[in-house]
Amino acid sequence: MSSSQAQADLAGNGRAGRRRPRMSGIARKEAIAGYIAISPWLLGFLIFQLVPILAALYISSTEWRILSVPEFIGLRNFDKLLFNDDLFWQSIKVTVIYVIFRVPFSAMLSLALALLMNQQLAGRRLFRTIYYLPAVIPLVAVSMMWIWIFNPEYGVMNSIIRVFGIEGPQWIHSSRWALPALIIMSLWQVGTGMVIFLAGLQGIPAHLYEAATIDGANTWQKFLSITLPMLSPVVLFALVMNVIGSFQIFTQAYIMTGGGPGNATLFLVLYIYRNAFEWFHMGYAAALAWVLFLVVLIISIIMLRSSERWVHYEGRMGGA
Amino acid sequence: MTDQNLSRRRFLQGSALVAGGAFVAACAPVAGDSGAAESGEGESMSEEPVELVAQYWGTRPEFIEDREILAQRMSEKFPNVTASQNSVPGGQYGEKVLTAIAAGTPPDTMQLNHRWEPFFRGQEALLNVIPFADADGEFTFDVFYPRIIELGTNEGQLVTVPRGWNPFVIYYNRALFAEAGLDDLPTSWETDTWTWDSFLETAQALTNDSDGDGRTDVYGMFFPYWYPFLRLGGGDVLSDDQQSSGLGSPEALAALQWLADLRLTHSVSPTPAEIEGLGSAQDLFTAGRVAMFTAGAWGIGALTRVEGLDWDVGPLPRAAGQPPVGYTQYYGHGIPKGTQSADWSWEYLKIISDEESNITVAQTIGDVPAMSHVAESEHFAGLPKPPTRQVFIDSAPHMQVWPTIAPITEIMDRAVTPELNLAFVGEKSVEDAVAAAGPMVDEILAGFWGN
Repeated sequence: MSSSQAQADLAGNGRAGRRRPRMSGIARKEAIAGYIAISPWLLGFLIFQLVPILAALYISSTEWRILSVPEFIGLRNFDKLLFNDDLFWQSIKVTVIYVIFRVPFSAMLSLALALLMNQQLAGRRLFRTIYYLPAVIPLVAVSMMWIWIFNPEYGVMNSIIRVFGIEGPQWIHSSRWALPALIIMSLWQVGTGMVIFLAGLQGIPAHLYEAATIDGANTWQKFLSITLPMLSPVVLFALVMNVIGSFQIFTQAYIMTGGGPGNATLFLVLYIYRNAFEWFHMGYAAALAWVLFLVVLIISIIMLRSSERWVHYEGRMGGA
Repeated sequence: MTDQNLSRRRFLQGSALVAGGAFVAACAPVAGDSGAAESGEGESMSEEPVELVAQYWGTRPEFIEDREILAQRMSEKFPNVTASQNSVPGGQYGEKVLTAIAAGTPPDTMQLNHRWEPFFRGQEALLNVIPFADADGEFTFDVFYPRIIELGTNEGQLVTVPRGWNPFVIYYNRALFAEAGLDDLPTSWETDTWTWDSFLETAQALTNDSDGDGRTDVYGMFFPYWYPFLRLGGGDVLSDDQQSSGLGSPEALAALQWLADLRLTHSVSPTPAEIEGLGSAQDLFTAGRVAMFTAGAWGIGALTRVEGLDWDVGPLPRAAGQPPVGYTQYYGHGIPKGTQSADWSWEYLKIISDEESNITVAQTIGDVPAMSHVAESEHFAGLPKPPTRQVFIDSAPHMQVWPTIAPITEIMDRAVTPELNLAFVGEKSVEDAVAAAGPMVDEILAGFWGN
């Protein structure tokens, strides 16, 4: 046994070390204080999230209409949604299209705004506030406002288009344009992403840019070689949150289109809501909710796994 | 000093115990002797203090006031009873009541209509009120319109004591009619010249672009509801045996096509985008942008308050070869199973649907009372506006309601309406919309009937 191993055993890594080392009085008090501090969240998570999630898993294997006793039907709900429900696949299609277009557009716009707001411009605090303002307006109010913006006859959008001699589309009244309309509307709230990117940009050490300038790098090179790599953890965070949030789109569709016209904006969460609270198929709605959970989980795992290739963590070897 | 080492494991065990206990406590039924009420017997009424809650939807001030008066009357009649109302927005009604019933704390009475009665009846969540009426010495169904009782009775059971009904009529702007040189609409449902053809001709005569900018300024008509016209045309959403879609019948297809043509071919009705920009049907009508629209009696209250608006009502036009159809929606109140005392609920129900309450329906709310003698008295028929109120009442012999099958809301919202809306804006043909909706209707029905 080497001396280092002996030291490790003495420190508690050997047989005797399986017993947890006694905590000092201060450490114990800190641990208790820590547990007490997190207990509201922990209890909240257990009672209001974990238990309902597990309950939903059970409910998804039942036919349950709330007042009747849940009838166990195994995997029939999943069989139905996968093989016998066109509206489920319609809702998946609509949601995925929304995510595919909304996430990159939103991220790029947020980043562009953050880069602008990171410049030493006069009145930039005012601009930051202005760009962030939509993010704090309740989504219901925002939706009502966008109904007017998209109104084909009297709305701002088509009035602008009309200036160019073109008659705008019917937007949320057209099955072809309703989904693009909601994607365009989603860009209204890029302020949240902008603030996150801005915080990331301000954390990039200035000396990196100074060194690059001395080496003769131009703005684009600095952006590619310093800004993006240093910002990549923030980009990862923003993308994951954005994807999760986009899969959960509900309010806009519920208020503005009701899922229409002709199910053109029947997002998955709206379909879950309808099954649960309008048609009261709780078992089927729970199965749909679990599918959503699994889809988001898988995509999040893929993004996190792939991040090892493109996310640069300062102080860690490798990465971009 | 005692060593109280709190390990992570012990903490998590404790947390799990607390969380589990809280969850179990939250899920446990709190109150309610469901057995007695489910049997329809109820507990014997005593002088013990009782608290009763009547569940309603809608939160307009006049509704709230009406319900407070009903609760007050109940408490005055029975001093040991503390009666109250619970009013929620219409969109939350199903969730609210279902959750309360599932938790073992149902309301003592609950409002029901064409949408909710089939659903809750299908869930076997309501008591049959006929035994209560039979056992009651002072109550009779004979005072209500017989057709309402007939339509509400299902397999010998009646779960709703009616309070009001909303026959659909044509509201029309008399000033616009005069400008177009048109006579007033007929006042009798038996007028066989008031047909879909004459209705269309009237709508065309009223539709105009007064400023010549290429945009229609006044539309002849607006139909916020397509279902009444389907029934007028002799069609229905379901087949006669309610086993499959009825939308593919020649009558249904013709009715839906006629309706779509009103907007797409004849341009006498505004598009959804125009309606959205200008407000509700009543807003359009009040602003003089629409000359006729279809709605229930609920239009009376709002329109009566508009000063200077010269309006009246006429019967729905009849389709070629079809008898007159008086499509209506009715509402009332029932007793949920599991209520604390069905006998007390019945007493509350009697006050909610009695003559004084029916007068309130007529005078304050503006709907047609379910009691025929109240509807035909000075409390409704005798009121000055609109001049031909009798049109509402005269629809009674022709009264039709939408299907009373339990999954009808799902059939409408999930299968039929999304497809028909595409047809009504011209994105699909009526045939394609019906072909797409039909299998979904059949699937829902198959699930319901267990086929």
